[in-house]
This record gives sequence, structure tokens and C-alpha cells, in this order.
Amino acid sequence: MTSTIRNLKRSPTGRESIRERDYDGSELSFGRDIQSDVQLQDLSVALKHAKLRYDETGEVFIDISAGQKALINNRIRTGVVGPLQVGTKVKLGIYLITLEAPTEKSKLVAQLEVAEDISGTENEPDEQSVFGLKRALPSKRIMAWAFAFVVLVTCLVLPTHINKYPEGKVAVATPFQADLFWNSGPISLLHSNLKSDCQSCHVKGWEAVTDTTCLDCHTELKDHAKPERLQQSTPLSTGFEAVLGDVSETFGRPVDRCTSCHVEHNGRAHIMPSSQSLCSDCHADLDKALPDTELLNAADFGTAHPQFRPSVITSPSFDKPLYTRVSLDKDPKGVSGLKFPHDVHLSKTGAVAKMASTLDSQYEFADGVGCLDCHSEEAGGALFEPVSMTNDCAMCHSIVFEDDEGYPRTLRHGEPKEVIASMRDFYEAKALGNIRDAEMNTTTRRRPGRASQIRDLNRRELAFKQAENRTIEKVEAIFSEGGACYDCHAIDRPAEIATLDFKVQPISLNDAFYPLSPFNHEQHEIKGLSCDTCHSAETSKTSDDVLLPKIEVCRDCHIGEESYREGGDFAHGKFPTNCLTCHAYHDGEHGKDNSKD
Amino acid sequence: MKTRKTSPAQHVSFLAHRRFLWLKVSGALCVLSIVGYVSTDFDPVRNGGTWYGYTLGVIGALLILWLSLLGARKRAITAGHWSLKGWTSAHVYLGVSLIIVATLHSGFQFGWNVHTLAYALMIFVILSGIIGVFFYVYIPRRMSDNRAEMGQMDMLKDISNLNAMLDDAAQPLSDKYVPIVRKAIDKTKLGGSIFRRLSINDARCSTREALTYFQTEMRNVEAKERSEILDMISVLERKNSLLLKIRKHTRYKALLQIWLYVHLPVTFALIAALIAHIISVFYYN
Repeated sequence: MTSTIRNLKRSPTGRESIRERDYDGSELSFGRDIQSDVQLQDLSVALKHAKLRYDETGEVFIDISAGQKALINNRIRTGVVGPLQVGTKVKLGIYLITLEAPTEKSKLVAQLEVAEDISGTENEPDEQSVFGLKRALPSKRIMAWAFAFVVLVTCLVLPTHINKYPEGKVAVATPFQADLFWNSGPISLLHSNLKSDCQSCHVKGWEAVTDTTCLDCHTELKDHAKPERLQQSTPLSTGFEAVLGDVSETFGRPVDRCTSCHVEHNGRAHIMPSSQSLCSDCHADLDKALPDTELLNAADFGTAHPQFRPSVITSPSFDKPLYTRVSLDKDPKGVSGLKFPHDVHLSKTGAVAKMASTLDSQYEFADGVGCLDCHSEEAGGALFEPVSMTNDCAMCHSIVFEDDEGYPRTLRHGEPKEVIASMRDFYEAKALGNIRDAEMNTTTRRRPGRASQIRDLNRRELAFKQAENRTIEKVEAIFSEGGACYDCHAIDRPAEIATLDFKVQPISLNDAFYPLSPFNHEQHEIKGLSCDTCHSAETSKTSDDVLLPKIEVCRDCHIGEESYREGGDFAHGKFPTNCLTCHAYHDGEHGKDNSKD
Repeated sequence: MKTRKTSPAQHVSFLAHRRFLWLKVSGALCVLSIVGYVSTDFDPVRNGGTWYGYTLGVIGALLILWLSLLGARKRAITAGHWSLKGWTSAHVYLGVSLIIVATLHSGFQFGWNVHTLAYALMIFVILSGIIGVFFYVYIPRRMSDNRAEMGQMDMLKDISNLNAMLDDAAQPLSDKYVPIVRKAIDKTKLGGSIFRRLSINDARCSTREALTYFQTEMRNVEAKERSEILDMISVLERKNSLLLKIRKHTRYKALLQIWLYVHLPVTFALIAALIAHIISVFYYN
């Protein structure tokens, strides 16, 4: 009994070669095991995978080992399968066994061939996919263009489109304000109401913010000077500055616009430029550019600022006093028309101090009269209210002219004619009262008849005559030395006293020596400073004294920005100030005469 | 013995190109920018809108555009002063100097806007570039030590050969061992996701699993099969060490390339943001 395996091999060129091998016995075992009749070198084949056998009748069966499978005529089979026909194909792993017709010597003949390509080259990973990153990450090129696209659309195309079509579909559909992406920095606090409204200032694309846009809201700004004077006094930019100006113009940003000085989008940095050079560029040598200017050259406050020139009253008037600017170096006198010696009032020992002590409980004069007893601060605290007779003098300076049975009769201040009329009324009324009292007197009954009528008439005339005399006497008294008016006012006496044509000379109190550079008192309320630090009132004997400090007093503490920056002993312990500390820019023409209307 | 002279052919790193010429140039650029920034005073603040700010901005923008041309430049190989190496050296040092130039251009004003977006993207690009330079300096030596003259194709071929050897060595083994060996052959994963490449973690490597399995199995294996198992273990060990080498190599290769996957796309985003930055400034003039 013999069984035969015909081993078929194909060369790469397709040439077939068959090698036959005969085995004794009616069985052929297949498996990976080296003991198998036919060893199948394939790991998907079991050690002992299957057996082909034929029985006495010559039928061929296949015994598939327990747990193993075989593909027989393309069907998966287990256990014993058979009888098998000639031509049956049994597939074990990569091997194909085809049952062939029995021969004379062998009842069991099978052809064995490798049915699958086992070279495995197709499964080998290629170098690029193993070591390159191309398959592990998205393409660099695609990412690059995608990123660029997203950025361009959100940051450029969208804001530009919405800017052009603010009511368009895209604008409505966009849930955020696209042009805020362009915001170059937080807008200043002063403009914070405009922070989400870019187009309130950036009216037209590609056009720099125009002055017209600013002036739409800022309607009250005055010219710093007449335009032609301004142009004449502004030094022409040269060299680098000129180049910068040209470049700026080329890129659509004209110079000398509002926004050239007031630069927005810098957050906390103030929109008001304050550098000294902003002023000193023109004002340091203003007389050269404008020979006819009344303004003096000014630059650094510490070293190059002229003496203060307050507007002082040179001719008081009830309606139009004459103001003149005079340098404090010339020891100017301000004629107010009022008699007011500061030294007498501030003395701690004189009559005023004594009087104050008697009124202490009523007016809280602690230790004589102090500055603030008469000068009251304005609500803001920067300046002082004008001194008024009623509020600031009357507590001591009574203008009572008669104590009428415990009821003091006070004159109306500021109205001399009314004062005289009131006094005449008072004394005539007194005379009338006397006449009435006499007629009502029952103890002296009048006799009827003409004589008594004449007597009554004489009595009335006498009474009014006496009243007139009394009026003249009293009026003259208040307008004369020791009188209530004379104490403070200069009086023009009439040639004939009986006419009572007394006139109070005009008085004018100066309430703003520096109308364009108001001094802020409140900021100077600090330890170590009192009124007399700057104002020498205690030694002033006349109200004509201008009690303003000279620039040297200010320079004890303040110097300019430039000299501060230079440092040294001069700057030691000083505070830097710039022009805008005292001066403003848009408050009108500084070149004109500042006398008040 | 004579001291050996440096031959012209000796390798000089692109960082040291022409005795650090570009380091000096970009250092000078930084110093000039800082001196200019400190010595010019602007009211109210220093920022990109002053003449100095615009100057730094123009320098910065031109630098960015020039730096981004390296990608095109490297495809054309030339020699001499403007060799690719010189160009790369300049790219690196001038790129780093942009940190100073652009920061001073900004005047330290940052916000949630397109301007800061451009700045942030630029910083991102520069940082990724610095990381790239670091990798280029740090890795090649290690990579060459690791692969020890072995080419990438050699590695892959060796893996194939070892798989064939595993196949052979598994033939006489009991059926229960076969799936483990087959898994070690079939489930050998090379490359894979970026995370896999960067971490050389082989905890889930089928070859390693098989090796561990057989090493443990040696204790209770029958005497007759012992020598086959030992053969199997020795092949598995060879494959395992080769896999480790390949994984290290893959990691090095990934590191050498991955920064460019940030550097390049973000550069495009940066140029887009730069365009938006410049246009928007003049649109809302």
C-alpha cells in the first residue's frame, strides 16, 4: 500500500517542476511537525493538522484534527470529511492539496503546491511611511494656507466688508464687532463713550482722522492765535523733521491736525500732550518770529520764564475799571479805591484783634482775624470768592446809623443816594411822630381859632426844619472821618454840605489777576504752606499793595521740565512743572491785550 | 608632531558660519534698536505709531518677509558668501533678533487685536524655530550613534529577515505558542501616530510581549522543547533590540521634522496677520 505526494513548484518564470514522493501505508499526515509525512511550513497550520486516508473500498477521507479547520472545495470543514472525489481541493494554510486519480501503485495520490505568495514584500513598510511624518500629521502646505486664510478672512476681509456695508447681511450675521480687531490700544477715558464706535472718528477708510471730525463735538474750542500769526511763529521744520512730515503726508497723514498732538489709543497715557517743548518750540524765541508781539519769550519755568505780569486795576470804576498788565518786578499798585490796611486787620495786638475777641463767640475769631475770616474759598477750592461787605466786613463794620429804641437802623450798603434818602426819611418820620404826639396830648387842649392854626403850622415847619438839620448833620457824619462810610471809602464832599451831594469814589476789587492762568489754591493746601508763605499781607499798609508772590517764590518749589531733567543742585528737591500746569492752549488768543471788558 | 591645520573642508555648523558673522550682525541690530528706543522720547508714549515705531516696524516686516523666503531659497543650492549655510545662519540669528525689534516696535502695548495677534504668531514662529535649531544641534550626533552606520532601508530589511527567522523558529513549536509568534510577526508597528513616534514607549509592542512570554515560559517548558524555545527567544531578543533602535530613530526623525509643522504653517498665518496689521493701520488711519 502506497500513497503518493506530487510536489508542484513554480519558478518565478512560470516553469513548473514536479517531484513525487511515495509513502508506505494508506495514510498521509499533514502538519508543521517534522514527524508529519508532509511537513507544511506555515504557522497557520497546526503541528498535526490533518490526515488523508483511504479505506478498504478505496474511498478517500480526510480526518481534520480536533480544533483545526480546513477549506475543502472552498468550504470550511471540520472533523472527518469524505468520501472525497478526485479533484477535491483541500486548503491548509498557504498550501493547496488536490486529490488526483489513483495510479497503479498508489491508491492515494495528491498534488501539493503553495497557493499563496509568501515572499511578503508587499507587506513590508516603506521607508517614507515609517520614518517620515507626512502620514502622521496633516500636510504643512494645507495647514499653512488654511491658517493664512482664516486670519485674512477674520482680521481683514470681514472688518473691511462690514465697514463698507455696515447694514449688509454679513454685518447683521456677524455676532461680534469685527473692526474692534483693529483697535490698536485702549481709547482714552475722555473718549470712552466712543470705544465701540470706530467710525465716529474713522469716518472714511484710508483717510486720516480730520479736524472737522473732532470739531463736530468740540464746538467751543478757541484758536490759540490767529492762524496767520500761528503759522508765522511756528518754526519751519527742517532736516529730519521735514522728512518725517513729508513721509507722513505721503502715507495720507497730514501734519498739524488735531490728532497730531492728541494721539489716541494709548490707554492710560493722557491724550493731552504736555511736554514743555510743545510750547517752547514757538515761545522760546517768539519775538524773533513775531517782532510786534506783546508776549514775552518763555520756555523752561525754572530758568526762562518772565516775571509774572498780573492784570492790576490802575483806574477803578463802578462799571469799567481799567486793567493793566504790570510786571511784579515793577512793584505795581492796584488801585481798588478801598481803604484796607491788611497789617491792621492781621495784627494780633491791635484794636481789630481786641474787637475780634469780643465777637469771638458770634463769629469764631479764634486768635484775632485771619485770612479766611474775610476771604472765603470758592466751591472748587481753587480760587476765592470776591470779598463782599455783607458777608466778609459787616460782622465788624456796622453800618447802623441810629439805634432806634433798641432797634438798630442799618443802611443799605453800596447805594449812597438811597442811604441819604433813607436817613432823611427816618428823621422826617421822627419829626412827624413828634407833631402827632403833641396834637394827641389831651392835657394841653387847643383853643379853637386861627391863632391856634398858625401856631400848629409854625410847629410843623419847625419840626421839619429840625429834621432836615439832623439829616444833614448825620449824613455828613457818616461820610466824614469817624463815620461808617469814611472808614473804608474815599468820599467826594460837596461844596455846599446842605446839598448832601456826597459821592463815594469808585471801587473795583480785582478777582482775577491772571484770568488765563488761574492759580489753584486747593492743590497747595499742604503741610508747611500757609497763606503768608506766598502772600505778605501782614506788613501791607495799603490796599493798593499787590500781594501776589513773584516767580522766585514759586521757583522755591517749582522748576521746569527741562531744568528738572538736567538735574543737579538746581533741581534738587524741586517739582517739575510744564507749561500746561498753569497755561492752557485752546483758550483763545494769548497775544491780545487781556484787559477785561 | 605637527598640529593638524583646520582644512577648508572641515565641517562648520551653520551657527558658527563665518565666525558667527550673523550673530554679530543681529546682536548689533538689537543693540541699535534698544539704544534708539531708550534715547528717543515721545509724547505721550512710545509705540508703533511714532516715527521710530514705524521704522522698527518696517525693519521687522522686511525681516519677516526675507526670513520666510528661506523655504524658497533652500530649494536652490549655491555656494559662497550667500551659500545656503550662510543664508540659514542669517535666518536663525536675524529671526531671533526680531524678538527685540518687534517688541520695541510694539512699545509694550498689547491687547486682544490683530496687531498683538501678529506679534504672538511671530513669537510662536521664533520659538518653534529656536526649538528646531536646538534639535538640529542636539539630535544628529545622537541619531548617528543610535543607528551606527545602519541605513533606514537596512533596518526595515533586517526586520523582514528577523520576521522570517521567527517564522522558521516557530515551525517546530507547540500550537499554543504559534499565535504569540504570529502576533509578534504580524503586529509589529512601525511609525504610526505622532504621539507614538515621539514616545518610544514599547509597552504594547507584540515582539516585546512575545519575548516576555517566552522568557517566563522557559520555567515550565518541557525539556524536549527547551532548545526550540531558546532559539525563539534569541531571535525575539534580536528583533526587540532592533525595534528599539528603529523607534529611537523614528523619534529623532520626528523631532527633526515636527517643529517645522508648527514653524511653517504659523509663518503663513503670521504673514496673513502682518498684512492685516499693516492694512488696518492705514485703513483706520
